[in-house]
Amino acid sequence: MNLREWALPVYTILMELATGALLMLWTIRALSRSKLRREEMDRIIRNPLLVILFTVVVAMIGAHFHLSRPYLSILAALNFRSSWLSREIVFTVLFFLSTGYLWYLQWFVTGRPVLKDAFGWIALMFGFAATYCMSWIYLLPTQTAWNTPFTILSFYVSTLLLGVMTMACLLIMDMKFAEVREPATVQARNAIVHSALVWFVGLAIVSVIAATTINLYQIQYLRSGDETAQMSLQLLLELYRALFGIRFVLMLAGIGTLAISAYLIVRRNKPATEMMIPVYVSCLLVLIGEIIGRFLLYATHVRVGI
Amino acid sequence: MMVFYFFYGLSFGGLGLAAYLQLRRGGELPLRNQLPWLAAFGFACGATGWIDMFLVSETRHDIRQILNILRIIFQPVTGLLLLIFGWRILTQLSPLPSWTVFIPGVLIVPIAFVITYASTTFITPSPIEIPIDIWSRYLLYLPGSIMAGIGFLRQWREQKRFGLQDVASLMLGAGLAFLFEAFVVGLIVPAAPYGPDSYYNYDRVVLDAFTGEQVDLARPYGLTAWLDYQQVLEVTGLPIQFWRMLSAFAVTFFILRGLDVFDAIRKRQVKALENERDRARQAAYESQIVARMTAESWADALVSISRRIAELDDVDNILVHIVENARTLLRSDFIGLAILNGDNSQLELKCCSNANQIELVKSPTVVKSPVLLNILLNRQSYRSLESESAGTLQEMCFCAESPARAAVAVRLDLDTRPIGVLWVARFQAEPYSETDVIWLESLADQVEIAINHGLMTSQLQTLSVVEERGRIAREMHDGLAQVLGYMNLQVQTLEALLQQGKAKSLETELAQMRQAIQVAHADVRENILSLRTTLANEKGLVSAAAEYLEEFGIQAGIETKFDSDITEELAVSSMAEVQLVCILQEALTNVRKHARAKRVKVLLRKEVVDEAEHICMTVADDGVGFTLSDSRRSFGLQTMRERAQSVNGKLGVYSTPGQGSLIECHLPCLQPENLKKQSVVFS
Repeated sequence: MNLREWALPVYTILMELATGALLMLWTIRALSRSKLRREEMDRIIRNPLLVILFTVVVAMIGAHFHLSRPYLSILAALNFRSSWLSREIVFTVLFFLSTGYLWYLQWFVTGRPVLKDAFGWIALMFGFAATYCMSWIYLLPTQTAWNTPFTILSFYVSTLLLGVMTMACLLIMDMKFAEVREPATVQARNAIVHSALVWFVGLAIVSVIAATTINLYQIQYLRSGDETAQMSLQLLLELYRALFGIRFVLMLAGIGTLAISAYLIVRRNKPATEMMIPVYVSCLLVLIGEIIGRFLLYATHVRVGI
Repeated sequence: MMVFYFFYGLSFGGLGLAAYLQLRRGGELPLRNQLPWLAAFGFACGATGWIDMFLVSETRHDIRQILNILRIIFQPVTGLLLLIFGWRILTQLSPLPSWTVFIPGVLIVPIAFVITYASTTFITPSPIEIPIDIWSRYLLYLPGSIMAGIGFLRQWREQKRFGLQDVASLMLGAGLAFLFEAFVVGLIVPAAPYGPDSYYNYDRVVLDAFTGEQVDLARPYGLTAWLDYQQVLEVTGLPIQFWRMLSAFAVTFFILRGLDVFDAIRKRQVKALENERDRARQAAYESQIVARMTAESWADALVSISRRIAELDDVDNILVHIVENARTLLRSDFIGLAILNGDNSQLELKCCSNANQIELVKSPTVVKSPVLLNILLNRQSYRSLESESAGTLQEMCFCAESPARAAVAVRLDLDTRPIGVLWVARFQAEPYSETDVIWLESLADQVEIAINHGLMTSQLQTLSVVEERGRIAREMHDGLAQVLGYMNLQVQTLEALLQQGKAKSLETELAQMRQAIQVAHADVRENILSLRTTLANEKGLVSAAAEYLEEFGIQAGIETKFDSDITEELAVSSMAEVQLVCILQEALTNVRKHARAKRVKVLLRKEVVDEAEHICMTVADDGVGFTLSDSRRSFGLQTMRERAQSVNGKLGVYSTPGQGSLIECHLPCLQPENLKKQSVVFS
């Protein structure tokens, strides 16, 4: 892959990360309703929401780098009824707009809890839709390695895993920031981190297990496939063997680091902000693993036909 | 090329060595905590440069293999050390702003992508040292140099704020050198089929603006052209290795100079601090000495005042002494002491002092100062403030050319009743402190004690006079009344003898009667003389003693001689004078009654015993003498001893039967000072 081709992994990874992070954020918001006041919760989620919006913007900008004429990209949305690419673009734009409006509501509008709630879930819906459309683009008959339901599943597993790791890292970073700027909210943030971290670790483990299972099934599928499938499998297990192994090592190392950090925070009452570096490193490791995984997806496809 | 690599390695090796040596020396440099990383980076980078030098030279293949492996290890390690050094120096100065917490979060995705991209390039057919070289530069050298550059630029601002211009300019140089290093070492990489260099210079597709078709292959353009080794060589005529060497020189020069100047400045600062500390210590020491001297002066003054009071010195003398001391110790230009008159209707100045004189005011001088009169009503001492107008302190200074600009005044009390005011004043606007008020109050206490003692002494003197009168009255009663009773009986006896016609017995009785009358007459005359002497206060002791002796000689018919070497006023207390006169009277009475002397001599002189002045009076007669166990004289001698001891004196009695007697009395004098005997309080 040359550098221009990396624009696609940038876009897909960042979109999944944004969608997964918004899912985690809005779930926490919904579950914390009984424990925290709305205003307090709104103040806590403002910065993470800004980061999610920024990620979406970068993803959209990054997507244009793989186009030869980026200024004509909007034309690709015209074939919504027939093209998954068009749908992807439309839902991505809708996801961006809804997340943008949600950010505006959180930062500049007080009250309107129902509207905020609704728009959060609407934005999530668009995000999931965009991810679905994104994954369907790759279900091409000419690309044997991609043309399986495992592609869709792997995209959603990545969404979940990246969302979990990103939100764990974001919550603790934001808490460190709040220690200086908004000390009154630290206690509430601490409570959220304590209760969310355990779930994050659990979801991350589930995701890794799912990803591993999907990969195993994918290998099995390729092994039993046609010649192009065999070539793809050969690329994966020979040329890119090291990367394939490194990917899982990084994911396990990242999740292990997160688990240890969560244990120290929740059970040993270590201040969460002191664990910021290990949590950051765990997120980085998992992210690198996911990007390697996406790279392998692009690197191992073999086109059928001419 | 070898030369460039050699000097490149030498620069950074020298930097590492200098940092290491500075670390061993210790000290309190601001960059002290970063020196280990700087030293490690310097050594590693120097080693990398020299490895490159050997690689470009013609070396054997096997050695070249080893050198390649070493380079593969050293280059990323060097980059990592630079990264750590850069991060530490960036955050060393002070905590970064709170929003920088999010920078790692923002960079996590680019970092992850770059690492991933870098890892994928290792599986390309290129030799492994090329991706290691490129990604070490992009991922380690570039951010490390940028952070180090920013860190030094922060140091530059900080040192400017401290006013250390020479150090600040060196920090600026180091910052810029590191940023230049970031560019030439971190951003310009060998050509390779992966970017970002390749993206900008090799992979980019340029489309025709009108036809939209791809035109010729991209050529490097704009600033991105400088990311290429070849472009640098073509434009500057010098290879990139030269510019890297130059950046190495610059970094090494500015950092080493900075460390030296830091060191020198720190030493200067420490020296200045030490000098300041020494000066402060010296000033504190001098202040202590001044304070101690002041305290000693005050202590001496108070002790001398107390001693005078204890020695029953004249009250006027004590007050003058207090006034004189107060003006000097309180560094005042004027001091005044005023006492309420007899009916408490007016405050009258009694004593004042300025720089030229001490004056005891003879004529009544009324004090009209509202401030001083106000103090009599309130118990609060008064201290003038700087903000007060000069008119407030009017009429406080007498016989002075300038008005008072600052003053302190305290009330004098006796048994809680106000009796006067003591005040000091300055002609300059130099206000008194609270401590001055406390000192003046202490002196006022001494004034009150002195006055009290004077009153008590006067009462004691009166009591002594009354007691003496009582003694004389008793003696008259015991002596004269008995004699008169005896004479009455004798007259009856004489009448009986006359009737019986016993002329011889009658003559004998008459002779006895005559003798008794003579003794009684002598006793009465002596008592009258005692009364006259005791009451003659206006005469000095010497004169009184001389007169008494002369009169005694006349009355008793004894030759007397008085001798005295005292030419000035005696410095003895009034009580001591009274007791001395009484001792003289008692001694002479004994001479008249018991000694049967023809001559008696009285000598008054001053002598110094144990460095203290004493008055010595001797009464010597040529009479019959006595033994000390003679009971007829012991009561009088005991009385004399008691009188002497009551005024801290001593009495010595020397006598041998047939060789006369000597009474010697030593009484202590007061401290020899010029005293004025004019009465102030009791006039």
